[in-house]
This record gives sequence, structure tokens and C-alpha cells, in this order.
Amino acid sequence: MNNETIEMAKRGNKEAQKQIYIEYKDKIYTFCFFRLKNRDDAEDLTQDIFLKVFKGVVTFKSGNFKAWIYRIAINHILNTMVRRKNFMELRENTAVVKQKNIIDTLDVERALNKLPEKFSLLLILREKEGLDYKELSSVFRVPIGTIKSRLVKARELFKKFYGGKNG
Amino acid sequence: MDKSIKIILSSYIDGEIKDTEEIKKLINEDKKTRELYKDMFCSKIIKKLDYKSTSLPFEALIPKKRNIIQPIIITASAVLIAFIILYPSIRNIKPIYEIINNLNTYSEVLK
Repeated sequence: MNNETIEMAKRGNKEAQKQIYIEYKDKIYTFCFFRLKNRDDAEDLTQDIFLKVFKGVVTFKSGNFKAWIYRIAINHILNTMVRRKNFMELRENTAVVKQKNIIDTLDVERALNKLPEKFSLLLILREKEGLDYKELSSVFRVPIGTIKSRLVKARELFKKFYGGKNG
Repeated sequence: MDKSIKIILSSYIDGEIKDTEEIKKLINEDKKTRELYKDMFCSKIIKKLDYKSTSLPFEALIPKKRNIIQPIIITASAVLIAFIILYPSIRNIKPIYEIINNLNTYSEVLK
């Protein structure tokens, strides 16, 4: 995302906001979906997150825009999850699944869902979104050392819940 | 296993370590470290997850301004159309005071 687009979005330019939305909507939606396991909830959350992004973009001064967006997303997801503890329960996907790669995907999603939020969100941002340690440190507002040790713990737990299918 | 070696392996997997030769050597030579590396590497499968696509349009995020003129035009048009349709029926209706006057006249005649 280039600075010009961000500056235009700050001034309320709808086209610039649309560009940001198109760039990040599926990423944020996927991020929400992995935690909530429900399309409607994930869409509602995505909508709320982007409203916050467009409202708060004027406060974005400099730095990593991607990390800033994910920071907002994580805050919103965690706040929502505190309010609605019951949606922590894993809703089993009852669809008949035959293809191996789909089974793998479900196993990965299940394993991610068993992890505590701070670990699963961290792993998704690291492995799926490719955020580096500095960016992760800025998203979670913890020192890089904490990110490193959390990643170790997250990986150990993921391995435990995923069941060594890849190991 | 020492926590520091786990952190080193995890950072190595993430490409956050510059001097990689020593770690490579350790992974190749030490069985326990190799096993640990494989366990840590397991999380890389998360990258294979597909993005979920949402059909949520951008326009849905922007609250639309309330259009006041439109309902006024629709209501006015409806009233006008109703008046045009009903005009033939209502133009022959006499005002109520005329009827009362006529009734009075009629009663006077009866008297």
C-alpha cells in the first residue's frame, strides 16, 4: 500500500479507501474466519474492522500500514471474543469431505482453533501473512523477544494439536 | 530441550537469523535437534490455507445519506394520482350544508 493512497484515504477519498478495502478485505476476512468459524460473524467483524480503519486512518502517522491494520483487527477480534465467549466452541463442519487436501485444511483449521488466541493469531500472521518479527512486535505491542518465545510455544502447541501429520 | 535452542530454530525457520551455517550443521548432526526442527517446521502448513473470499461490497461499509426528497416526491405523486382517479366521483358530491339546507326546506314544506 503506497503512501499516496494512505494520504488520500486520510482526506476521506472514497477511491483510496476502496483500494485499501480491496487489498485487505479477504485477508482480514480470512483472519476473522479462522478464529470465528462462521461466515456471518466473520463478515460482521470485517465490516466493523474496516469502519474502524477508515475512521482511524487519520491517526496513522507513519510506519507499517499492514501491521497497523492487523493491530486494529486483533484488538477488535479479541474484544469481540471476550464479549461473546460462547463462540469459542468449535463448530464442527458437517460437510462430507472426500478430498485429502480439504481434510488437511480442516485439520489445520481445527488445530489453529484449539490454540489460545494470542498463539493462533500470531501463527496466522507469521505463516499466512508473512509478517516479520518487527511487524509482529508492532502488531502485538510486545518486545521481539516475547514474539520469539511465543512463536516457539505456538509452534509446539500447533504440532501437538495438528497431530504430527507433517512431521 | 534447552529453550534457547528452540528459539534459535524457530527464528531460523522464519529466516530471522543471519548466520545459518552453524544451525544447519547442528540440524544435520544432532538427531534431537533435527526432530525438534521438524516439529517446529510443521506450522509452515498454515501457509497452504486458502484465503476465504468475502462478497461484502465496499459500498456496504459507507452509510448512505438519507434521501428526504425522494419520499416526498413519491407521496405527492401518490396523492395526485389518487385525486385524478377519484375526481369524477367526488366532483358531484354536494357540500353538506346544501343538504342540510335542502332538508330544512323539505321540512318546512311538510309543515
